[in-house]
Amino acid sequence: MRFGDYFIVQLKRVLKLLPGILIMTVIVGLVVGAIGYAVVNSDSYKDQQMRYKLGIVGSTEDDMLTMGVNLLENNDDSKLMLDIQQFDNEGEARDALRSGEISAYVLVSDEFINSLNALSNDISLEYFATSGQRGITGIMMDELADIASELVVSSEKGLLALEAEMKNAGFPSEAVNPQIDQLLLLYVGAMLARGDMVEFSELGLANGLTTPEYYSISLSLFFLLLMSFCSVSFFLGKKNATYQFISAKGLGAGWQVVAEFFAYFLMNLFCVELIIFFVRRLSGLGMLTLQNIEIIGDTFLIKSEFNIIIVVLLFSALGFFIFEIVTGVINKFLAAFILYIGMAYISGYFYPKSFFPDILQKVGRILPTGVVFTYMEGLHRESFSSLVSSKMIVGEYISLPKYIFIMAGYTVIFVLGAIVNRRRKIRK
Amino acid sequence: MFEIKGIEKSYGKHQVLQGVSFTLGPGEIIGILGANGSGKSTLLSILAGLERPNGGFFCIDGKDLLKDSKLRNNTLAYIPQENPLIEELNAWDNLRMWYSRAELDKELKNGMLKLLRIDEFLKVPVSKMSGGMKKRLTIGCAMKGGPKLMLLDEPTAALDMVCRNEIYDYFESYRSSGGAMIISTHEIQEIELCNKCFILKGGVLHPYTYDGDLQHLIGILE
Repeated sequence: MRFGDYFIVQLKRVLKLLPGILIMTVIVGLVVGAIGYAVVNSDSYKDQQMRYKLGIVGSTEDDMLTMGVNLLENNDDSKLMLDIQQFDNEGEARDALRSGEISAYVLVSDEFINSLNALSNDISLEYFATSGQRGITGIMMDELADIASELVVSSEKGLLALEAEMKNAGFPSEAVNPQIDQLLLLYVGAMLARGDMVEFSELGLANGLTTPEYYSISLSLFFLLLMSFCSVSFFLGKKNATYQFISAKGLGAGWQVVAEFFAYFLMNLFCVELIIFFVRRLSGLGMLTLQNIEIIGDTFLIKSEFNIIIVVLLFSALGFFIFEIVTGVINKFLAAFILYIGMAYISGYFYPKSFFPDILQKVGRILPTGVVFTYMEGLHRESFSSLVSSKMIVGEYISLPKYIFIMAGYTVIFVLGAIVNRRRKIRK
Repeated sequence: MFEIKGIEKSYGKHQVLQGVSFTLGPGEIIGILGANGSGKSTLLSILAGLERPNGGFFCIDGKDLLKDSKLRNNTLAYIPQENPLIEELNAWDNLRMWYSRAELDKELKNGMLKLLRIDEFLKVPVSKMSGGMKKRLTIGCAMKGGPKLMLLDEPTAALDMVCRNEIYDYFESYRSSGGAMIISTHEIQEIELCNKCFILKGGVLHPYTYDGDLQHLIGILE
């Protein structure tokens, strides 16, 4: 018995099993694609895309206050992260706050307006946010409230006094107002240089990926993981007697596993490439809009057929190892399911890794699923040219050769583990 | 002449085989009897090179088959108790794993595979074969290269009378052509085929001659 003969037999098995496996793969692909579409188009995602909403309650008809709000909305750097919504009364604002429509509101009371017009500094704006809303949102809203207070109260009062003095001295409004406006803008630009304090980039969910990019990578990888389930029939009906029979004729555990693994890997790769091919065809026919393609993985799948070979190789090795060491159909499914869900979860396939404690993030990063994710992030950043260190746009530097090496190492470990287990089965 | 001498095997503190020794010439059939778990399959696994013994050797004409894997592969045919065939494939594809197309054509036309009547079900998938067909096909695969010794682990277990007789006919044919066999068995019919029998008990081989008294045999095995 030669290795080549056994490998060809495994390919024949693949051909026999392929129709069923393809159907399963397409079904799983559609389910994962639908989940991706739903996630990226969900209201919660759209909410994330929006800026923080700040409610303003009370009269803003006062000239200075109107100007302050306009400055906030149009001139200050906070315009990049702030939407201002006007409410007629505090009850409406409170309801909106409770229902999550706004993140906080500022109450502009009559006392405040009177104080403003009287050139007094003794009344402050009142700022309301929900209790327990700490974390990044709460902190950001505190900062925004400070900005609002500074702009409206501190920056304008001096200028307001100047305007009043100029008018008292007989300057006409036509001459005063443009000058005061100009001064206000200069003041805001000079004294409140928040552009130096914060830098706005669309960071998305992690490491420089936008939300659609993040989920297109994570869900596509999850789909590649789940492909093991689709091809589980490759592992059914295999018997120790077969291994012993073949081993007794000279083809030992090592060559058996290598032949089976490569047949299994080629089958998985074929399924993946076939799906990519059809997505591209549909895209070419205009049946998928650009957005749809991006959601189901265009950003890295279509442009990186070559680059994902190493990913398919690693996930094939992982699946092969699990299905090789676990006996019984139900046990195989359960073990793979629990391991895949757990690994995918910790590696940030469902939620960004930053949601987890540090220790869990570290574990998630070194798991095969985490290594693959980081590799795909790196690929994404450098527009999918492989084997060259990625250029950092946002987030940590990712060395692709290093991650390819780690993935190859994991693959070897899983295949060696399968060989050791096969040897045990033959001797049993 | 095959010589098996001093084969030892233990799993931890459990001694499975102790100094197992016997010789076997061309055309001879040796039967190994024993209760379940007595070590019959372990002995065959060792002789087939699937397990390593703790001691002893297994020679043909002075050459140690346990150390020379190439010689062992060409000399022995190991037929496990369970069906080792690849279920998704048909008889032809299973045979192609072992034989070249030319060899297969020749064997099916006028060779050992013809004798086993495998040509009758070449296109039948293994999953749809009867027990007898599977066993004949297994033997057909294992006999590639014309081995001089067959190691059979309960070869007719779970087969009906007709299938058994077909298999026994083949054994007789193989024996008459000078082939030797070591059979691990519980079947009286197989015991009757054997030139010599041994009972494996407590890891030690005891010579045994079947005299038609089944109760006596059962008593020994217990």
